[in-house]
Amino acid sequence: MEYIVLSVIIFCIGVAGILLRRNLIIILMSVELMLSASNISFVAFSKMHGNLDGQAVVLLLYVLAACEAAVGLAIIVGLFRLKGSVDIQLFRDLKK
Amino acid sequence: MNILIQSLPLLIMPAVAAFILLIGAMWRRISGESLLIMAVAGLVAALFFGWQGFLAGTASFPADIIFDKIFYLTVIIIAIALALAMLVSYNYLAERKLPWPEYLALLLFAGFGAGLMAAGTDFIVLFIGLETISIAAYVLAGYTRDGSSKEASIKYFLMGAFASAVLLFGIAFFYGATGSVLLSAAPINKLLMVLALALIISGAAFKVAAFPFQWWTPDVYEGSPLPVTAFFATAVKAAAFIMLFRIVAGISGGLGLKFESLLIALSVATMTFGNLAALFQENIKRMLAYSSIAHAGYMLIAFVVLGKDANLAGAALLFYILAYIVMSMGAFGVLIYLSGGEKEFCNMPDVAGLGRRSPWLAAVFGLFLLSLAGFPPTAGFVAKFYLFKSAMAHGYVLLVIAAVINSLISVYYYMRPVVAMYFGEFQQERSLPKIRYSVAGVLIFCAIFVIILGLAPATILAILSH
Amino acid sequence: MLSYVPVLILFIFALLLGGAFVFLSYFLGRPKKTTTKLNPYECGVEQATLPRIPVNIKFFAVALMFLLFDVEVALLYPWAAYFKSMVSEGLGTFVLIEGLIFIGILFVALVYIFRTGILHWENGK
Repeated sequence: MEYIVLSVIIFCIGVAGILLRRNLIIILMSVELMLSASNISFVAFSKMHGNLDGQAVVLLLYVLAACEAAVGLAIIVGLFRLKGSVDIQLFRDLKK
Repeated sequence: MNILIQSLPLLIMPAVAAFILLIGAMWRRISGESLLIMAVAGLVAALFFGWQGFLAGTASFPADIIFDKIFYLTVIIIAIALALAMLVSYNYLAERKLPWPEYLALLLFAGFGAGLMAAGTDFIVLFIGLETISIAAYVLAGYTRDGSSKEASIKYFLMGAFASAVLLFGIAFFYGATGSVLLSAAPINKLLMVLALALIISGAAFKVAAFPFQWWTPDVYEGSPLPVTAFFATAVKAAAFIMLFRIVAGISGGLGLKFESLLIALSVATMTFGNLAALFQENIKRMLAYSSIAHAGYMLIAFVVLGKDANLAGAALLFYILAYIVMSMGAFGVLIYLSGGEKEFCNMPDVAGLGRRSPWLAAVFGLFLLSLAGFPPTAGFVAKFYLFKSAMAHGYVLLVIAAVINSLISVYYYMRPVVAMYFGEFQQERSLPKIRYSVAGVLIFCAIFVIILGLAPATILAILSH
Repeated sequence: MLSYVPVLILFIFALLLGGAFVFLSYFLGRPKKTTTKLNPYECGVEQATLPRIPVNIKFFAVALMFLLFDVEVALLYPWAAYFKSMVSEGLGTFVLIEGLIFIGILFVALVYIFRTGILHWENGK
């Protein structure tokens, strides 16, 4: 049970990070935090139910999270080369 | 061995994608045309095997994948959408000297993801499919070198990754509530299940751009390169809806909970928002983005019916998706046809006077817009009619009335480009680009399809109703 | 447990005292922010360059490649762990081919990366 609470807390930290921070790298880290939170709850629930499904899922999710992080970092590098900064406030050319 | 043949339509797409990537990397001199032909040939093969599989019938894989009629129909629809998206982008990419192999491979991988989303009976398979198509879409959004494309890419990435994380957290709680990640699993813990469903529906609503989660759509659609926007509006949207269909159909099987009223609210809010926001857009690309939100609202009606009659809802949804794919691909195709050199011309004044400069193009564009607005005798009308009729048959009268009022509102903004084309001021400065055969071919195909679906929908409806 | 209470009191006391000092200095002091104060300290010499030196973009590319290939291997752990039991069940060939397909996909990616020149360091291509 404690682990579920922990994962919820981490998830909320991730959401807060996405909503409040302006640095793209930190926002990306917050997204990863949210994914890790679900990994924790998968493992915790796996222990609770006594089957290994959840733990197998975690391995797959690791890979997905890494792919997402890689693509995100690549996009951020592209943006940095364009504008010389990773502040999200700079990227609002499109109509709000 | 049988399983291998059954899954061929799914496997052929990543295989061709890997082959194109390798060829493109090993042999730099290879022309874009030959790669394009290869990719389209792969899609045609996927279409063919998908049709064979459709005739052969359902097969289920030992682990969490089912190859049923819906899967094969989805693969066929997605293959058509991808082939059109590839052909439509030929001039666009060639004029900007953008690399071909990666573009085609990303589209094919996206097709693979869409296939997985249609085949999964298990949240993890669905999620992997979703991530495959999403990651390809993030990269494609930033495919050109200008700032707005990169901005669209990062916005799409952040919003999409956030939605994926929410969906995943919902899946984790679903696993907690049932002890399994199968869609049909019965809940042990009701409270966790409610929480899980709220998170899952939010995440999925984000992906289909339903009402409170649609804010990313206009920016992303406007900033992305035109052919990629066409791909988002057709293949990605179709795949997201099929996934939502699988989830809702699977969950409501093993659950006493009713979320019908929630879906009705989502549907009405989504279509109303899309239509009202589209009314005063000066940029046609952005207007089509809002219109895609409105159409998402119409498609959500099918999910309301789903609880009562899964077959009817599935057929209505697939028909709507097919009709929406051809008509919005056509509308974007016209914009692509008009965009010349390095720039895109999507504002209202850019199409002004098109009726005199290029009557055929204007007529075709008018046809697609009429179809999007839902005038008979076009595909859009039949799709809406069939969808509304299925809702009517199960007594959702108010919902249908709301949808019809929305359709009437939408006529206004769909007619604005038409009025501009036929009665607008002629613009001398810019001459029309020379004939673009591949785009013209796609336009002709889409136009014929729109009319066929509008005049003789019976055959296709019969196929979809299986 | 009771014998630790003094330690706890000590902690609380230290916290209160530290907090009080910080608050007092904040309210009484009101530090002025001047350019000199906000500059990074460099022994009185004028700052020569920006503290952030742009790193060659190739580092990012290689780091990304490393990240991907490193994590993909995680999928091979369960495969390796179950290999023996699968062999004893007579599914050895099937499992072996499965693993080879996975490695083959990674290999295709590696060939692609090599050929596009991302790992090419010299004469900046």
